Amino acid sequence: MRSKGSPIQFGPGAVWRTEIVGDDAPKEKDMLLRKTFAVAAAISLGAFGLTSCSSGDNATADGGKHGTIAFSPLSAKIPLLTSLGDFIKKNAAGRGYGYAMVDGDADATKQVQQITQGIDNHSYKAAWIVPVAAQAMTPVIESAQRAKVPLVLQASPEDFGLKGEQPGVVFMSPDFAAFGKAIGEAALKCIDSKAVANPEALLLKLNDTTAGSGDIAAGVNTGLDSKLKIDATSQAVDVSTAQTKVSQLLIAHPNANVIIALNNENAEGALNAYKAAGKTPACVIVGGGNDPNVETLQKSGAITTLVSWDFQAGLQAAWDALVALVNSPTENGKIISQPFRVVG
Amino acid sequence: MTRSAALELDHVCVHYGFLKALDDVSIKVAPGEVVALLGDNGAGKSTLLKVMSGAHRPTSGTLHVKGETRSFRSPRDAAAAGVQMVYQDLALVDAMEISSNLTLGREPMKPGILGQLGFVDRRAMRREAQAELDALGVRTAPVTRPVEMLSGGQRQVVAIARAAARLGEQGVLLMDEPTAALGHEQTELVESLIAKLASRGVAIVVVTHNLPLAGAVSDRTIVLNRGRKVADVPTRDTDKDRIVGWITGASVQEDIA
Amino acid sequence: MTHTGSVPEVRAENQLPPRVTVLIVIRDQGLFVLWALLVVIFAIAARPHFLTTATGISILNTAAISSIFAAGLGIGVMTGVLDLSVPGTAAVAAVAMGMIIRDGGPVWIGLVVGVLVGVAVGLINGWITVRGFDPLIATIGMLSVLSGLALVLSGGLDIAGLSSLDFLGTNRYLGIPGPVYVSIAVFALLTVMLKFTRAGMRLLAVGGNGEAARRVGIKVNNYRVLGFVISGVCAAIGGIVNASYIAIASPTASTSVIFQALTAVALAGVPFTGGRGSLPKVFVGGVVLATINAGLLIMGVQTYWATIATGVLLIGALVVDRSTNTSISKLLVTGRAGAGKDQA
Repeated sequence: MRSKGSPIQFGPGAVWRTEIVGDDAPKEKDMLLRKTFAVAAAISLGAFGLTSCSSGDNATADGGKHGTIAFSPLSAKIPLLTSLGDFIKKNAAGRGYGYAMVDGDADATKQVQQITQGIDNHSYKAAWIVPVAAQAMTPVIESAQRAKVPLVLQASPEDFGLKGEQPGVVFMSPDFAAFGKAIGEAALKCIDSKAVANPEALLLKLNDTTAGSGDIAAGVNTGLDSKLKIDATSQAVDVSTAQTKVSQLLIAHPNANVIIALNNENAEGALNAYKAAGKTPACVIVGGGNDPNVETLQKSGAITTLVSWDFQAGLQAAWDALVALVNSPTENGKIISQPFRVVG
Repeated sequence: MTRSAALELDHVCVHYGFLKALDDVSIKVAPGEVVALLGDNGAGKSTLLKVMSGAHRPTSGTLHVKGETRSFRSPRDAAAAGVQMVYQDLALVDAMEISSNLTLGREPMKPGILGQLGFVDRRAMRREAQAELDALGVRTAPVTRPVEMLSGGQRQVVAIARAAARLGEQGVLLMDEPTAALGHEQTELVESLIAKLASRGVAIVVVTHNLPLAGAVSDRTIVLNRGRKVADVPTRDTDKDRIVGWITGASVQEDIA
Repeated sequence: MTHTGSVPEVRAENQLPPRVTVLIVIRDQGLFVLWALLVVIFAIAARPHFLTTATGISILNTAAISSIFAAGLGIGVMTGVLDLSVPGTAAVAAVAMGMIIRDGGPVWIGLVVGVLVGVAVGLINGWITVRGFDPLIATIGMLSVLSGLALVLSGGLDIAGLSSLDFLGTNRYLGIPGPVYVSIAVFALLTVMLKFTRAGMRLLAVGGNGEAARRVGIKVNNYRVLGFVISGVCAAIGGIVNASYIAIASPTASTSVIFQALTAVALAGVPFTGGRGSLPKVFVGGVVLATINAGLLIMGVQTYWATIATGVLLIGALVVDRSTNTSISKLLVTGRAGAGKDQA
């Protein structure tokens, strides 16, 4: 029994039509069974193909003629980072590179594994990484240097126990200490300009495990220079917890009139808590931003000063540095300090 | 002997492929009659019980309850026809009290609008439960006691009472190893319960390994061996040795019906 | 002592031995005792602000919001299912409501739609489970689907500015915030249903011994679906109340909600084998957790200690529960003075 086939439909869902030629043609039931299997297999293959093509997935690939540039954000759920991805994709396409997004999904181990795999099997020509946890990226640097794949790493050399420029890696690191200091100084400035009597602050921090949180907090203290009494500190990463904690802190410290919030959620929660308690804080200083709601709050005056990372400004410089490295991957990469803005 | 059988199986066969679990078994149980169903493991007792209780459909043969031919598609059909089974695992809800277990599925509702909304009349529930236990002549733990706090014998009593309460006029009660986990005193209690129910006209089929129980409580003894009925005699007309012989397959009753 | 012989009489025991009664009291009321103990400890260690009405109300409010989720999960567990899709349902319900309000629709329609989301998810979960699929895996799958759906519906962004929900989330009536009333209403309704209605009894029967319920003719599948619907509606209400509290409908499903809720359920001594449990105790479980968090916050202790304390408490609760149950069983079987072993 021979069979010859011709595809009815191309693509991931290709179904091959089979003509059984010969004496012992199978019974009708068999044929039906085979057809069902074939269709089922095709559908699942097709589904597979489709899922890997959908955007916002863990790994999306779009190969270009010079190779692929991978972008691995901390989490694809952060709109800011997805727009960063779009910037990279556009620039990559302009130069004939493909683009692949590898979602870190807030899981450091996963991010390291996926990027290392892509480097080792030569899928990526270059990679731009916003790490979930900077220190975890050390093996990635080593693999990349071995494979001569240049990187942009949004971290600083100190995170890896290195000093100064490194071959093949562009460091774009936020200067957390400066960021924090700006927040502290903004608090003092507000108190001065509004002539706040008896200023007392609530310091609302990030989780200790978030990158830079310790440095930012230290920077705030530097900026405050012990000139402001901090009644209490707390940590929160979601609005509900922040709101509850600030409500409770207000009971214990009813005269707290300065909010220093080191992320958007703390700020939103604190504002809600004050409103529910029928109070208005004199000064609200927030380190965060890049969020429509928070920016609205700043424009309306509910937030006095917003200190936020200016990702756009740093992008072009980092991109240019990366492109330079693609051509000569063993050269030292630049160290760029992530700029930030102070508004209000 | 009474005229019409409460439960009758006619030439029932159950085949699983080539395996004959039941081979041409015919049984009649009259109202008020207690039949002990004996046999070794694998003889077909559980299969026969399954057919009687509606859990399994026979490959061939017919089944009649109170003279009417029936075809059970599920235990629910059997229950509707008046056949109740007390399972070996009792199937009680441990966390609930005796009265809740007894009335499960037929809970009395509060009168009026509250009943429409689904409110259960707990006092009526407890009264009914107590009445059912009293009708069986059993005094046991208070009906508000959670079943998990009862001893094995008390739990058996509750399980039997639950089945008995749903029997209706001259129903059929099937019991699967009712004294397997019980001690001597508790076994006697179960015996007297069976006698009481039989005197009310309930036809009872008891599957058991416990020969003394079978001897004490049954009017008739049926023995299965390898799916066939090898004996069907009035209990008083036989003795332990002959029964054991039938069970092991050493012999078959001579003039088997 | 009369013995069974030819008379089918059992000695009527109308009273349990006193030691058993005491142990039952410990097992059932232990949580309240524990909570009272915590209050005393914190009144001293976190003075003077802990033992105030304001703190008490704040604790009640926090407990209220998280307890709504615990009620849903608790009912699920009691009816024999573990519904892990709760955070996803909460997110979609909140986002659906937020979208309606943001686009100018009346608040009450938003609320109704949110609750309907819960009903729909419950029906789907139930349908999948009665088809025979493992409910645990099915609900985890639904969680993924719903999380993604929430993000798609909202475009990945929070829907902020929902101040029209203040009446539910932050306004106080007779000094007590809205969420507390909602939570109490949910608990009251569900407790009454479980204890006094036929549906409630049958739900517990199905959860306790599904086989037994089936054999008395109860349609087990229908009640399984009902369990999921209740769980889904509680999840939706929880999501709605949370969004009202922070005035933001956030599409990110917070899986930590599950652990908090399960902890409250476990603290309440609800066995995960199903069939029984006290909903009011689940609420108290939530209060215990909120008390720990508030006390430690006022003391200025790191948040990690709160989670450690919770875990220790949970294990302790399990140990106490198991040992009282074992003692009760032992006493019932052997402990009556002068009684023989074979009482029927």
